[in-house]
Amino acid sequence: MSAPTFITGRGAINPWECDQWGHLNVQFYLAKASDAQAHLAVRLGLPPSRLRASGPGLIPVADRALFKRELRAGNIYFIRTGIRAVSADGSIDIASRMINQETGIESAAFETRLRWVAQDRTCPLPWPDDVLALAQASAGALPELAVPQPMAAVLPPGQPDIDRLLLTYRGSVEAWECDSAGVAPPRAHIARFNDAITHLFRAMKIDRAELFASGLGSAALDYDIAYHRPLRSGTAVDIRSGMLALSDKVFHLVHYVLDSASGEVITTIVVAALFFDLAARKSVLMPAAIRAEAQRLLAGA
Amino acid sequence: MLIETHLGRVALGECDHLGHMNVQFYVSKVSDAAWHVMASIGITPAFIRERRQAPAAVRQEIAYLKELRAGDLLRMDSGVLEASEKRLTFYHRLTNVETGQVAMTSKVYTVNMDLDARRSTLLDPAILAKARERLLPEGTA
Repeated sequence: MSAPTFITGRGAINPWECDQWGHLNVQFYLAKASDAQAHLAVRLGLPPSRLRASGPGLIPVADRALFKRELRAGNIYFIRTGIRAVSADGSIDIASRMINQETGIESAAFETRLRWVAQDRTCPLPWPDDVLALAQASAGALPELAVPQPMAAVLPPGQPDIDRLLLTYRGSVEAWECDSAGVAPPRAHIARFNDAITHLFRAMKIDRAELFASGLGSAALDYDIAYHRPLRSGTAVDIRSGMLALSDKVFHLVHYVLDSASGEVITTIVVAALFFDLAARKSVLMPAAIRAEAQRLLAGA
Repeated sequence: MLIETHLGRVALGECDHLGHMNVQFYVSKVSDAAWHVMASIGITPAFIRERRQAPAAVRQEIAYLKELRAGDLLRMDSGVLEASEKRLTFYHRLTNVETGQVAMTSKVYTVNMDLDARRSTLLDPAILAKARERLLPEGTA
């Protein structure tokens, strides 16, 4: 039997959420998906008042985000969410789809694993009985929200050799980015990856302004994110990045968000991306000079 | 007819030192909701791009009824209160999803604007007809 889905978000795209490529920047997709998850949480018996009063909290531990069609300033959208599965290990898998309300075209797909954790936002706890019962009652097949193909297995297993990766970001997490528990939401992770890609491009001898002038832009297609530890206000962070795989159009890279003090990995993200023609809004083959630099990075990593 | 025009959440960064959502963000959410209520009467993003005209706010009345705090979930419902050859008045009602309490109501008076001439212009007759079809009952606001 099909599980129900719910409208969990509705809004509009503003110019200040769009980037130099003329479309909604990736960090805002995740911000809107996070807000939608909060609306789903109400249906699990976790409204804001309970989450505020409770020590434990609800966090994402993994996110898959597939960017399917651009959203541009002036577009209107809604988000539909359902519960795929409730696992014995204490996680709940949910699926959300962001739809351009005018065209009906799916703009983005999100597959998120949620967990109930202690006040430290780290130690997993069993779900409260009422939440578990509500989640189980609403979980099941979601035929309107088809399960996406897994991302290509391009990330080598085991611990990363951080020293062989490029330093692509250094900064800190600020209070205004965080929730009232002092923990940064997915948007803050994505904003940093977005900054890191510009530094990675610099290492590939890509100047964004020159790329823009040549009529090309870059776009993410697919994110596979693991949130290992909370990203807390006041933390100094580095990002180390590397090239993982190349094809004619699509390239895969990895970013690790690291606690600068301890060296611990806070977040891992594998990104599939490509270049596109800014006028035609269509993907193009990777330009030869960029491809040569990407090959050089691939060999180095 | 009221339709749902926004579903969202209050961010900590939208709250001020009084511990509640600052007034500027109520207006921000009305602005987002406006694109949905306009689309419901045919003023879609494509219409605005192609016909180069859209309602521009000239006056707004707001009643702040309940405070909203970081993390609160929001729903906006909106509709058309008045429609004439050049003017549309929209009504917006912001509700705290958890409590069901109405946190804000607002009336936004607009004049249809030619986006190239930057002057008022007549509403498309089909848009005006649809707006009149969907007018909210008297006494809504």
